[in-house]
Amino acid sequence: MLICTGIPVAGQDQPGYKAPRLRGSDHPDLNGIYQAFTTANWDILTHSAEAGPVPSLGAWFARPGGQGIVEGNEIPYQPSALKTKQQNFADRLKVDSYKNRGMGDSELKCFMPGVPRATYMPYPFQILQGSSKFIVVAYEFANASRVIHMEKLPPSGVASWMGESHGRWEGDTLVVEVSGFNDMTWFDRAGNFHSEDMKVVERYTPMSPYHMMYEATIEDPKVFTRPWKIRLPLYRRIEPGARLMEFNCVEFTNELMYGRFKAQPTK
Amino acid sequence: MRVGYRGSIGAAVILLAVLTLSPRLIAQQANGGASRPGSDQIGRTPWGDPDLQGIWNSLGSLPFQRPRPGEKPPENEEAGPPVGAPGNTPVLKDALGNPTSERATGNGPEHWYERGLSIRTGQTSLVVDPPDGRIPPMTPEAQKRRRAFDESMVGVAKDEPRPGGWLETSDPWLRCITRGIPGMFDPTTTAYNMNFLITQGPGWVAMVSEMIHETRIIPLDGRPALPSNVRQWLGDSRGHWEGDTLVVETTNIEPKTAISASTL
Repeated sequence: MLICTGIPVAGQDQPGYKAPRLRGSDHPDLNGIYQAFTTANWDILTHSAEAGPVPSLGAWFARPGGQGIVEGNEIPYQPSALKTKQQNFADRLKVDSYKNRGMGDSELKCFMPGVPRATYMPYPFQILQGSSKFIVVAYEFANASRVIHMEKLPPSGVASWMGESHGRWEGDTLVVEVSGFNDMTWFDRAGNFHSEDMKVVERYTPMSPYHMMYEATIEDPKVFTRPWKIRLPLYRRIEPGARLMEFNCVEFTNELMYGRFKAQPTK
Repeated sequence: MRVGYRGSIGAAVILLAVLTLSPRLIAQQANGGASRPGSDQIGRTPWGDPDLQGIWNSLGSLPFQRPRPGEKPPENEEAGPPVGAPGNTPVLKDALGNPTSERATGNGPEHWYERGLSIRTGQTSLVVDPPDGRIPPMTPEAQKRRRAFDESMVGVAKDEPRPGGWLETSDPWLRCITRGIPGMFDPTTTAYNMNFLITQGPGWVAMVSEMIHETRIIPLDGRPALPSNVRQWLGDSRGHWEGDTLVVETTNIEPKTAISASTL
């Protein structure tokens, strides 16, 4: 028997919902702290549970199984790029801070996570939407942040970890075009990667007082044979006094990255 | 980066820091002190708060502390190159009298550097209280810790990271952890990337620092501070408006952060 529960289905349009407006503006108020509820940071494709990389840590850092966030559960790699992805996975815990900064997962090294990964890491982020010409997104992980320029600006042409974000409203959906990335961030710990030519178009659509739908279309002709899309809900953190805590992981990675440079007094 | 060690000062940081950021003062600095806009000239957000939103720069030419008698007089009293420019590079010394530059990594090329403007305002140091423009002396315990650290640094290699190098003895800025508060606004280091973006919403002010990409989110809702055992590099900031002045109280500061690069 089919029961209609009325519970909203992820990805389904909710034309009935109209988000509150930001004071002094015609646009929806997206201010708040949000968090994804997925295991996509381990692997954006559907994956089974697996032991973690450090046996002594037992179940603590094992990988939970989870449903992927990629439309069709397939990433359209070019054949040579698929080999790179597999090599990335094999090298994901390797670090060479001196000669090959790009090797290994950027998350491991506390580098900024890039877009769209910052959105679905297991840390909250805060949308700071004021009455100015930019919307700031502050991520708890590594103090990463982005400035979404809502006025038309020419691209700076400078590559960066979080890319360069240009936003506009399409109805109640915040559409953000992001480009100008470096090639050192990954999509997940599974080694899924992109080049510096990646372009991401994100869509943030308020669905209820408690959640938004997030969609991102990824285009990178150097790595993929066609554009592809991810989709996941973002949930509002509603506990009283919800806030971002600091996760400044630079110090946590000092031993990993620079242990060989530790001081040895010469006197 | 022309940065020496600053952590020993951080060890003595009082845990309650109050930062006052006045739109009037900022406007005055931004336009060279040419005018002092009245309250009616300050923009308002749609919800009525003074509007501080925009991209700001904290470069300046004032020394953090007023030089002692016999030291080079501050910029405001005698025309000269801005602090940090060739001909006016302060020599920061540790408790043993050794220049801290001996421990810094190499400077970047000259074209990296942005130099502060010379603005004559009558103010002669960033420290305005006490009136002598000097940070009050450290407690004997803090002085002991600072001296012990400085002694431990004698003979430690400088410059490029290498075995025998600098990791845990370098300051948090050099390690790209943080500039701390109020160090993140300290103009006296006259380095680069001294830009700040301020954005405001109903109930909060946020400051994004270009250097080390830190975002400082300041709630204005009167929430309580974090439990005192919780320490953060940027502490826990809570703000309120006193007239047109944004008053921010910051607590829970990680003791390893610095007040300023130039307080040694």
